Amino acid sequence: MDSGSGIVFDFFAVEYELSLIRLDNISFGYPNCGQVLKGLDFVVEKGDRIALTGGNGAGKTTLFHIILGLLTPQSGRVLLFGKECREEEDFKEPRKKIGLLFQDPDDQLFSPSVIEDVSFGPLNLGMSREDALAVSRKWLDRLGIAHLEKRVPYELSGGEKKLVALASILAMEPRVLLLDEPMAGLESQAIKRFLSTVEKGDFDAVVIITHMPQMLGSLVNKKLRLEEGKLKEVLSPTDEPLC
Amino acid sequence: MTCERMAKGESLLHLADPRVKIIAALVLSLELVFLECLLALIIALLCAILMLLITDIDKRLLAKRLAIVNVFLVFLWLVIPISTPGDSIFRWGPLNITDRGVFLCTLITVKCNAIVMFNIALLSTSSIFSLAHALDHLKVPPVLVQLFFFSWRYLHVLEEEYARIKRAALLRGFQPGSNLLTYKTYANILGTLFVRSYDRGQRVYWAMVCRGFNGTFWLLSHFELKPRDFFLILWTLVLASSLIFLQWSMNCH
Amino acid sequence: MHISEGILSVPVLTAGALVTVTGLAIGIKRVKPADIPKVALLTAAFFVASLIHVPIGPSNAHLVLNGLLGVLLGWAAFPAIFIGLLLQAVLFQFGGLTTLGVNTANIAIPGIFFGLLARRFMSLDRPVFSAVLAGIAGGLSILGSGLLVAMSLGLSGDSFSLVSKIIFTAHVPIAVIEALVTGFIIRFLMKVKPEIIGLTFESRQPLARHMTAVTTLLFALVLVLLPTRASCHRVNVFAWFDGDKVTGTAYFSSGRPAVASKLLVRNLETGKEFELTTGSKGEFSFVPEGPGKYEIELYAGEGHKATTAVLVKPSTEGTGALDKKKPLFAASADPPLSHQDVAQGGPSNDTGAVQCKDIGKVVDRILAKRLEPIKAELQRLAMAQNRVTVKDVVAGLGYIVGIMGIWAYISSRKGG
Ligand SMILES: Nc1ncnc2c1ncn2[C@@H]1O[C@H](COP(=O)(O)OP(=O)(O)O)[C@@H](O)[C@H]1O
Ligand SMILES: [Mg+2]
Repeated sequence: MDSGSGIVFDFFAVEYELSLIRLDNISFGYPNCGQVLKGLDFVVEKGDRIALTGGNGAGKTTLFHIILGLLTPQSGRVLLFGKECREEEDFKEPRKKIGLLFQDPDDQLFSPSVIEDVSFGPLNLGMSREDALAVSRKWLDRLGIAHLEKRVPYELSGGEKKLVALASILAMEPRVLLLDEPMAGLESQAIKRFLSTVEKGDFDAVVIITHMPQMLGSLVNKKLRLEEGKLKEVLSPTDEPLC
Repeated sequence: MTCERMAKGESLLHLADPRVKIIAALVLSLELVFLECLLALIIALLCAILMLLITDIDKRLLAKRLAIVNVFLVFLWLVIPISTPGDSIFRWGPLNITDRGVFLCTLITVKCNAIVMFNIALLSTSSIFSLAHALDHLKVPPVLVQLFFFSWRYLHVLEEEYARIKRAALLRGFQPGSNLLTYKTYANILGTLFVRSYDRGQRVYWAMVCRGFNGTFWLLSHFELKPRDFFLILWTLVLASSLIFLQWSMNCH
Repeated sequence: MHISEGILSVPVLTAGALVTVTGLAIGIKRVKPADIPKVALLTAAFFVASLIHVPIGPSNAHLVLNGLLGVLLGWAAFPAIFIGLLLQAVLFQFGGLTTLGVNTANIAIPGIFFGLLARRFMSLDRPVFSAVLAGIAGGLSILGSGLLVAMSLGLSGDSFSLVSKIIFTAHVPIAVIEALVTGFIIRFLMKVKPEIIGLTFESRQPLARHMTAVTTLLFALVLVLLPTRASCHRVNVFAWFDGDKVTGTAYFSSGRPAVASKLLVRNLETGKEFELTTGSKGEFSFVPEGPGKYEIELYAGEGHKATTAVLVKPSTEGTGALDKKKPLFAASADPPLSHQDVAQGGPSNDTGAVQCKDIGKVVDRILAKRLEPIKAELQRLAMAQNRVTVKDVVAGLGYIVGIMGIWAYISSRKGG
């Protein structure tokens, strides 16, 4: 930081304040797999509704995992809510405010019953048993899957699992949502309910990885495409790939 | 496909508290190991059959499972009668079947089947999740319970994954046989399975961390002893003590 | 691979359970909370692998992959195998609760031993060498398990000796397949995901400590198994000749008399056999048909067998049959006696002096009477010696290891 000029300092501070998520010059590669992200910059600000596209294996999922500190980039900085995060410890607080929906709902659902799975997050946030159950039931209801409450998660259909996983994220009432292919495998009725839930929910920002940005319609106000390890803004519909 | 095919049901034993069932299964199987009185063992076997009848598990499935258990016993029946010293009851060439050998085999067969039947009636009628939950209440180290629980949770996912990988191999002309290529292909299939399992294990942990996991597994439901559980406890105690009494009074060792 | 319920003897089951509790305690301590899902997923993957039938010749076999488990998971293989077997018991009714301990120990100990040993020398720079090494470890792990399974059976009773030999032999072809599959899997993993082999479940300890721990465990298993079998299954027979009849006792090494047990007496000179039954204190006696060496075989319960030999010397007491053969036997040298013969009757006397015969007879009688308590004392001493041996002391140590294991297991509950 340039400490010589107070004005510059303030200017940057304001900008950081605005960015909920900010990645600077991130490079990342898996061992013996080549570079996946090459000097990537990414900013999520309040009010953003971003659709993130990219080919298979472009590194979209990897990007989400870097944002939450699950993977450590080889170079670059991660700033969440204006604070730089380096260590595991730094990510603990932001993770409570950023809800990440995993691509495979099986990764997320491990409890013996749906209601236990959904209330796992709220209980970890320190809620009482009753409050946790109440908030879990509320979200199950909003997603139209209240009837699944007593079921065993791994016996559900793929679409049902997705909705339960989403409910388990929403029950923590995060400010920012990162959704990794939330609509894959959902039937159109479920997609509608999912979209309206996200729309009505009062989130600061939402980033959705999807192969079908058209389906999001008016929900998104920004489209980004991950290509060759970098993010590019998609300005016209012709830039969109056919998926 | 592995699944808890015997765990579904509404019988008295299905509904009983899994904690009680685990303890009862332990008590009865440990006791049977010590019993050496054939009469007592036969009575235990009859009681085990009675308990199986109560569970109302599909008879054909039961027969199949018991048949598998008895394969090893058949092997023992082929070997032990001729390799045990004792009085000959039948001689054919160099083969000498002895009374002690036959007696020992009978004893083992009755004992093994009785223990297995108690286990089916008491353990296989519980879902693995409820058993894990019960083990937690029975003060088994949490790490062990969690490993048990997670392994079961992801067993089906991995089985499906294995089936997919194998199907892909079969579609590309893989024909299992007794040759190096077969073993190598199986190794690659399993290697892929291990890599995916490892990655998934990592992601499962990440998903938990993202939901604020800090080492605590929460239990929402708790067990409650019902009258039927006290009935099961009573039945176990009466059965166990009468078997001991029988062995003692028959004075056989 | 694993042994069904109701077959093994109580000491073998106990020993197995104690060793497994110790192994679990060590294994659990090494699994950090962050590793739980990974270890669990690999456990599930191994469970899936164990359901696969791999063809061998005209038949097929289940994979066990305990050597690979040892390479990948190290000590965490103990809980992994335990859980795999527990799942099998509940889902398929293979094995059960009482054999869980022995079966886990039999599979896990060789796997961890050879797995850790192989991993010590594996490196990414030499993938082929490492794969071969792991393959050898995989094969040896199966052979080791086969040996332990055979031992568990063999030590459960003499009747199982043939069964255990057959079972061990059956492990040999499986070991070859396992070696191949393990080697190929390691080669695959080294290419695709080497970090899976360098799993960080192990706190990087010097090899020596790992090995000492595994070896200690192995020894505890063996040492506990050996003498417990002896102390529970050995039966002793003890006999002497007191001038006109052979007297003896049969007893278990716990000191309990072998009541109403059958004895087979064989005259080694004539080959004649006859049967006897022991009394309520395990005692027996018979009048020998003539001098010579007699072999006494005792059968007490399933497969409990003991033998002893008694030398019947011609005496001067003058039962007709003995007198006739007297000169012949006086000339022959004493054949060596079996060690169990603590005392033998029939003092030697001068065969030539007829006038001394009466005196000799009286002396014999008196001596026999006088010596009775000493003989009894000697017998009790022999029994006491059989009861507590060095092996028993070692067994005691084995159990102490086991109890320490239980303690570690309980304390790991608090830690976990
Ligand atoms: N755990 C991993 N180990 C090694 N390579 C990985 C791993 N996860 C992903 N990759 C590789 O990284 C690249 C990006 O993966 P990912 O972020 O999942 O892509 P996307 O989500 O855009 O489809 C892919 O080429 C993939 O093969
Ligand atoms: Mg992805």
